[in-house]
Amino acid sequence: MVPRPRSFLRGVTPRRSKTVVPDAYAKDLLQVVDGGILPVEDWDAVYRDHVVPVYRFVYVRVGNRPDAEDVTSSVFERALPRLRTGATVGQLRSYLIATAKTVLADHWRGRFGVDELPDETADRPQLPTSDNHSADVERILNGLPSNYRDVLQLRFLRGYSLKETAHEMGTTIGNVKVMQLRALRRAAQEFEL
Amino acid sequence: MSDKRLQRAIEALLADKRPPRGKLTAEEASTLLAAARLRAAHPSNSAPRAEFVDDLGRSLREPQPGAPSRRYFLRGAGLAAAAAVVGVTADRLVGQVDNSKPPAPAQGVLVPWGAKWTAVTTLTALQTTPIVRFASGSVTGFVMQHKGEVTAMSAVCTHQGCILDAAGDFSRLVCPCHEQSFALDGAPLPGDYYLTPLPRLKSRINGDSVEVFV
Repeated sequence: MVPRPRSFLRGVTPRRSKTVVPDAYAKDLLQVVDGGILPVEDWDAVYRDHVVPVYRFVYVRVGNRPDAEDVTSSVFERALPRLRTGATVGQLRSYLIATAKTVLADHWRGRFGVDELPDETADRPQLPTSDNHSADVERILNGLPSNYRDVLQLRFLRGYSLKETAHEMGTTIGNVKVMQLRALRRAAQEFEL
Repeated sequence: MSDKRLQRAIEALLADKRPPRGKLTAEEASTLLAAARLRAAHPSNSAPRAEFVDDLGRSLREPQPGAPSRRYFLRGAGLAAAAAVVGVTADRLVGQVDNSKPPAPAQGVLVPWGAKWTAVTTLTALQTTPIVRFASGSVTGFVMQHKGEVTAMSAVCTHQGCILDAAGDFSRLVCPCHEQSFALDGAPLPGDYYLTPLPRLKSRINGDSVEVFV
């Protein structure tokens, strides 16, 4: 692979801020979700009920706080006008997810030049809870070879540094780096990413 | 070569920082996404900072064009270029940050919507019991007399949300659910988990009564 020159200009290419959620897509989502009719009068209540699940949905897909906060902000800013018009709870949720996906796609395209993210929510348009996410992660980790599982657990779940992990596993920092990368590749397959 | 860049991105996530900008292949992106999922399973990342939730809610309710926030910056197409350069600079710094220690985010002040000054205890009571827990609407917190000052902070553990207790000798705040405790300034004490500090609450003294803004 020819390494691409790292260009400052890449960051300055126009952000696709005009991307809108294709309506057909939003409609598809709406059909799968049912929810009681609740006219949305109270924006504060909508925001309070959804900010944490939306943040989690985003965090799972960006993996760090500064980006998660920026993306979450954009999602609500973009969705705000639509949400004020009144909708069912189910519609609101679907619309927020659809908006989050669009903003996340923009984010990955802008940061990493990635065109398409694996869309694992297509057939289950619910916002994740921290419980079922932790259970998913645990299941995936338990299915990995033990050294892969150990390195990921120490670094990602227990917050060990490279050095501490190397010490704990009785190996070198260089080895931890290599093993960590391999373990993540394997985990990506298991997550079907 | 590209492994190194991917590794830098992964280390950035582990330090809860933005990964550096740069082209990734589909496979690298999947690997980084797997890292993001694992990071999301760390207990301290299970919820947004109270301060963030509060600030965003406020800015959505009443946008203030006069107060330039970073977010506001990103909105204007003309300013996007400037924002992108800021982003790149920040990314560059990430490489020099010592990743061996977890981040210690600043302790935010929690101001609930519709908050009002509420009397929760008295100075007299604090003389005998220097840490008093209170529950008021949506907030459970402590008021305490610490180093001659009256302060208030949330009593909800930033790990999994259990309600903290004051230790018997009033030296720290202890989580009943896991082996974790917090200093009286809200900083997490070394333990099994890397946690964010407890959000502070606004407090004031009104005659003998101690009031918090909740």
